[in-house]
Amino acid sequence: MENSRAKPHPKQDRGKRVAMIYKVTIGEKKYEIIVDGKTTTVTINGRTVNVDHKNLRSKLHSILADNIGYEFELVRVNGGFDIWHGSGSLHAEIIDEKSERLRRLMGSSGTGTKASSLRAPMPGLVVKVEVEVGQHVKKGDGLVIVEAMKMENELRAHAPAIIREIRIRPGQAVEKNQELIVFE
Amino acid sequence: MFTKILIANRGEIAVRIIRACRDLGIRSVAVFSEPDRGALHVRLADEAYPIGPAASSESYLVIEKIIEAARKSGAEAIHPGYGFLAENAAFAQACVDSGIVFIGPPPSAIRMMGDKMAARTVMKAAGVPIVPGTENPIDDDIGAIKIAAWIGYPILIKAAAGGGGKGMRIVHDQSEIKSAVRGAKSEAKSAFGDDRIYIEKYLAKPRHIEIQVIADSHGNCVYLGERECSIQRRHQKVIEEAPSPLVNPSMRKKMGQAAVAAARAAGYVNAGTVEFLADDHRNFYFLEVNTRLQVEHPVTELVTGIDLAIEQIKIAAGEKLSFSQGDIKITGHAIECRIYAEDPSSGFLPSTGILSVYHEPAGPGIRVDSGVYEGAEISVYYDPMISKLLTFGKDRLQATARMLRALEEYRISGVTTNIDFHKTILRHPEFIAGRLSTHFIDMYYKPSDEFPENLAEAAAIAGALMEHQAQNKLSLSAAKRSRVSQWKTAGRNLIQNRTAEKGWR
Repeated sequence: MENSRAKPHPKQDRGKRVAMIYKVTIGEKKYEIIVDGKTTTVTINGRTVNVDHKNLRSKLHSILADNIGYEFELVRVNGGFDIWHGSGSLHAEIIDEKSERLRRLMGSSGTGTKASSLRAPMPGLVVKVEVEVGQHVKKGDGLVIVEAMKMENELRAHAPAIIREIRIRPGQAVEKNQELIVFE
Repeated sequence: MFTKILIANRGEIAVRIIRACRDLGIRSVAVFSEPDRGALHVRLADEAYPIGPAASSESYLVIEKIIEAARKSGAEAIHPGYGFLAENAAFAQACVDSGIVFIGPPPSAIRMMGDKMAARTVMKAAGVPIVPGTENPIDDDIGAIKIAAWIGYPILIKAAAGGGGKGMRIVHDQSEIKSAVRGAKSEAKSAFGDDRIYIEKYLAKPRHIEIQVIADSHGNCVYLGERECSIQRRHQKVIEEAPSPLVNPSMRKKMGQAAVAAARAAGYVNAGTVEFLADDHRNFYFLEVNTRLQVEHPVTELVTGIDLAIEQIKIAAGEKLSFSQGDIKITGHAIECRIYAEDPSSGFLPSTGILSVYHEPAGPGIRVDSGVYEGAEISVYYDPMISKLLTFGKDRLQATARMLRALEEYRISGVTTNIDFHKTILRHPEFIAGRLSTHFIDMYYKPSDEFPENLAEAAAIAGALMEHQAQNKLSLSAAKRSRVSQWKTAGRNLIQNRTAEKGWR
């Protein structure tokens, strides 16, 4: 990370493409990717990969990484992209090195953002709340049961956490993305 | 023959029946709820009539609205599809009473087969093997304990009016029986308004094998081979195939003849399915009769060459079956994967959203029955099934290879699907060996939110490239902005601030 300071700063070279370092987090995996001016090669965790990129239409992209083909639809979300790969999506958090340095200077705590709350993945009806405030949960523990599409669906913890606040009660209708539980 | 048919359904099955109508030169009439105005079945039908708001209880399930639409359109017959009103005897009766032909069995047969206990009694009398258990309803746990002692644990408590696993309880020993009886009764009461329950022997690792039958109104009845639907989750079929890897010609003949006997005993006309449970020793037991066109009917169409939807329409129009039992040949192998908008890594939670990318597979041996298109929405109101993906091959191996190819080609963005889940099942050694049971998924499928390393790497690269492009654009426009005179922007800001202070809008 120390030697990365030698990389040129984009503003010094207005408009012209220059190499940049991006830190990408997908799930528990972290990648440091250097994109150079021509974007025909990138370096991922120190390994150079030839990249051929074609924008098929709007958000749909074809990537040939060392000639191996992938198709992704990239949807910008806060702090990165949802990357759809044909049968589902990966969430990629992306931060460029400059912003990360800035964030560090401003004293925010690292880039590892844990899910701080549980949100409803779809509109539905809260059937049951399976946890209490202050409770420690592990990954996979059931938190809330929501009825939607005529089925009961259990929402589970994606990571270990402590329950700080419960914002819903059984019988309550919830909207998509509504905050249900806040973690410590 | 009819000149116009109304389809009392939505989604892929409505599209399927519209296609059958068009093959026969019959005009098709769609009905639609408010959010379905732009649905594929409405786009493909010759006519379409609105029938109310999103909730199916206020639209697709309202008998009067469907009959009214049929009257307005002048349709002579109604095809109910599956689900909704398809197995509702009152609906079939309402059609008859309005002088409209119901494309399906007579109301009496629907009623008889809808009562699972009555069906058991009829089947037993017709000589069809049934799962050991009771023929009369159980009132309390004392009665249940007696019967359980006779047939042996584990037992299954089921609702007489049942279906879809509602009011069903597995009981492993006597200590569980009291709460199971109480639970099953109350669940059956709330789901069906009927709390009668009965007991069956619980088969440990059963296979679900069903026989397609088809009967005309002239007394002809033929079986079209079997489908194995053992790959299920929560009593919902996920993968179906024909022929079954278990069934040999003599078992097929025995099951087929039992199914025809069952259909005759019920006074059955039109297409129906007799479901059986089977064990690895090729014993089979009657489970229930589905008095409708099944979701998985296309696997039978692929291996017999018979278009079931078209046959249904012809039979309803009073025609005789154009084939006899001797004409039926099973050729090759067909597999169906139900593609659902759901997330296997988080407990199969339904996934909703717009299909921003939707690309169906094609090529040799592929059939896709879907009711969606790119840009369509998977909403919370209806079943999250996106499509039925079918492949056909000369044998099971080729059909499986083609299915894996098709799953690979399928591209869907906007909702998470069970496509990768299907791939995992199809590649499992037990599936490949044809050793299936209804517990297959519980036994062998481990959900995982892991993804292939190369995919994640490529996704990370794509993300970094996009971010890079965005940043470059940003710095470009920043460069452009900085060429604007600072005096101008200062003046503009001043004016804006003043208007804000004065509260102007």
